[in-house]
Amino acid sequence: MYYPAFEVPFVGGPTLIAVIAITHVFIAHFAVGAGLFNAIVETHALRRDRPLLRQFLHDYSRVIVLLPFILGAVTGVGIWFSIALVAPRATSLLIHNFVWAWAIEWVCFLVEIAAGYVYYYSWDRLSPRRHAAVGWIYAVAAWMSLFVINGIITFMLTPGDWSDRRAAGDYSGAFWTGLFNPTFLPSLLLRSVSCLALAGIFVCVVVNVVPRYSREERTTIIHTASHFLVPLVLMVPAAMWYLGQVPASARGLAFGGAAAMSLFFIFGLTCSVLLAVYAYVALVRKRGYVSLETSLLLAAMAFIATGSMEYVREGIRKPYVVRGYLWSNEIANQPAELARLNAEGVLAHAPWIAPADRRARADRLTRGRWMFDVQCAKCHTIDGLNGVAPLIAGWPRDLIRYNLDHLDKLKGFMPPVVGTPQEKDDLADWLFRLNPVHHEPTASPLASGVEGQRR
Amino acid sequence: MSAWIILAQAGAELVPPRDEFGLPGPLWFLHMLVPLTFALHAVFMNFALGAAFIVPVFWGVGRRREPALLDAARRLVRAWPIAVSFTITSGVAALLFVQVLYGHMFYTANILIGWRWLAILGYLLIGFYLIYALDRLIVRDRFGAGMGVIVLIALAFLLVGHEFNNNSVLMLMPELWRGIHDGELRRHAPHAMWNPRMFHSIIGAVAVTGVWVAVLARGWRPYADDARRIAVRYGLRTALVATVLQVVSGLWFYVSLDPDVQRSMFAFSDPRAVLWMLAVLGGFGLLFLFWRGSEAPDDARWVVASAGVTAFVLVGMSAGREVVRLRMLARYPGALFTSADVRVQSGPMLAFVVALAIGLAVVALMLYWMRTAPAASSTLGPSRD
Repeated sequence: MYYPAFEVPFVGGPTLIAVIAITHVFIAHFAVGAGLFNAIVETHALRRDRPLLRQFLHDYSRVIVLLPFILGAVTGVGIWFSIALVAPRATSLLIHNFVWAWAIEWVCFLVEIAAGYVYYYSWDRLSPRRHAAVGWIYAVAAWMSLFVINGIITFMLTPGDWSDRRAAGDYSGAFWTGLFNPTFLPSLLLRSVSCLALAGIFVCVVVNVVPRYSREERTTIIHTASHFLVPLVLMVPAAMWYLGQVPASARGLAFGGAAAMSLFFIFGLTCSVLLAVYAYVALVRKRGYVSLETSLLLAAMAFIATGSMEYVREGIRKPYVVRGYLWSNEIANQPAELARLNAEGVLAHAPWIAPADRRARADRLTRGRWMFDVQCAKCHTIDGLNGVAPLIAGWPRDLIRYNLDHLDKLKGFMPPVVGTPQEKDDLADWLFRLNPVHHEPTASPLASGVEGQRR
Repeated sequence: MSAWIILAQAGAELVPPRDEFGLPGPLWFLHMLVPLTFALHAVFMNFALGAAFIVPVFWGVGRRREPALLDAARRLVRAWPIAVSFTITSGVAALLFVQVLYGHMFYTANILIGWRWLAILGYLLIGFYLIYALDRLIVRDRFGAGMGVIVLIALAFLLVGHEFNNNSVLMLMPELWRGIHDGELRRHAPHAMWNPRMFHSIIGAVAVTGVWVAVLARGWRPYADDARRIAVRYGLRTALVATVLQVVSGLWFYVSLDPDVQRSMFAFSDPRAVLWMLAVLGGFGLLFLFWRGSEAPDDARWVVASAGVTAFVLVGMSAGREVVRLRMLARYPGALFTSADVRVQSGPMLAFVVALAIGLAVVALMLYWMRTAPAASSTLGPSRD
């Protein structure tokens, strides 16, 4: 509302964020898991004198340098860039409440990067014991980075007493209670398990790509890695623990309230359990071999499972960005703000979309389109992905208008429409004109204006 | 009524409200962190960009008459991805604190640039991965293909700099926002400081990379003394030439600023301005240090002094950047946070300071381990390659 709109044609802003974020989460989880994998396996290899494993870890560390340190880092920045473009107010909220957490996470990231490069470049320079110590520094820094980020991400769904503490002037207390919120621990467990599993899967890919290993050596390395996939069975109890901590309305969305979300949730969990069972039976017990093709298939499954679970996590937060405080359309669920917008109008506070000098002479359809841009366009396109036009196809104008007055009650994952009655009328008119069934075949300037706006 | 007041009023209605949650730390502390983290970012960012200009020169001269420079170019390319990694990592901190103090202005500029701002991610990825491709080419001395790749890397990183420059200028000038939003202005920030600011960044990058060459050459092992001498000499000479040009571009940059901003740069009451003035003097001091260092490349003290003063100059210049930013934003009502917005989170802030101290100590420990380790001990056992 207070910022210019960033338009992402056809797919909308949330999809842009999702593409970048899921890619990043997948790589970042791998980076954390690989750190733990390298530290544990190198320590084990030193104690049991297993040069083959150390040789592989050397090769594997190159993948860490080439994938997480480049694509992971850039997509991490990409999340910042994309959320600031699509949802600047929410981004600002997270920055101003948790800047010290972000800063601590940055320190962890700095140590992680430094340790990663030292680890990679010091195989033939540091003593084995010291090299393993660097591996542990990398592992701890990477996991601590996850630890902090996990707090901020989970805060968005379960902020705990954050708002009350802030209102009481206890800003430090609000920070801590927001960070270590009710879903912090179950989410940390879910993510840690995911990290270990991804590290194991990537081992299967890398060992098949590096030509130096014999089939027997590959089998040995894969067998070692397969142990890191087994904890995936914890995904089910951890997910139940997580969902037990979220608000009932959010839980309801995952358990049938929203079909897409329920399906994604079941799919994500099923993938995880299948991977765990396969790893335990075929790789741990039978010491089986995994070809490159199968490894890539496992990686693809893991990517889709990661994406599914992230989609569910984002989805059940609706209609909020920060539960209880900020709606997904960046209007705050605060009595003072809502009262002001309902009395003075939303457009009066949206200088970018509805400039003051153009408001007075704008017709009702233009004002309706502006209302859409301010309140709906954060999540909806017009007729692309999650387009509003197909959603209201065939609706009479009165039904649209009724929905605008009761949207949050009729659809639990939608925020209420805010604004004066006149603004809601204008929005209803504009939405109604999107409906081809009711489109009047007149040559009025208004009709052509709408078509122009649709394009 | 002055022209600036009229312009400020024109843009003021578009300035988004400051974040309702205020500042989680004291103003002085946050205002200190912005230039400090930016200076840290600049240390690596200058290498990331400057190497694109120095590597081809070293490679070309090295092939024709100075093999030590070809070797230095190879070693620089090997270190280049690390510099890019740390550029991104340190840039995260710089952007973090910019968002705390200026987020509402910063995000608006981001959105106005839009897809071009997002394209930075693509430029970074292209540049980053091409450096690894270059590494293979320079090892095989494939000069023609290598030059092609370097041009692409330079282009990618210059485009990153271009968009950051655009964003940095645009976030200070709300009077341009409506025109850019409505497509009436180009998506550049049309201000006289745009070009000198960009040139100042590029030339500065070459100068700092020259210092990096000298510093790295002192640490490369195993490394012949003759080769080290040549690398240090060429590094510092490059820095010297670039710093002479930097004086000119800096003057151009200064002249391009509005008169009230120019005056604020010489306000002795502002510690940032004092730091900037000292940095300007430090810049002139660097001319002497670079010259002496290139004349006596075996004397490590000149390299150490050059690096130290360069680091100080980067901090001072970053402080000067803050002076410009604060002066320009002060024109717009509500654009700057004030002490009334401060809501300190003392415990979390202390946790950050402790974490930073521990983190830096751990990094220093690892660097110490690397520094004191033998050149190659083959702890992996017999090579399997």
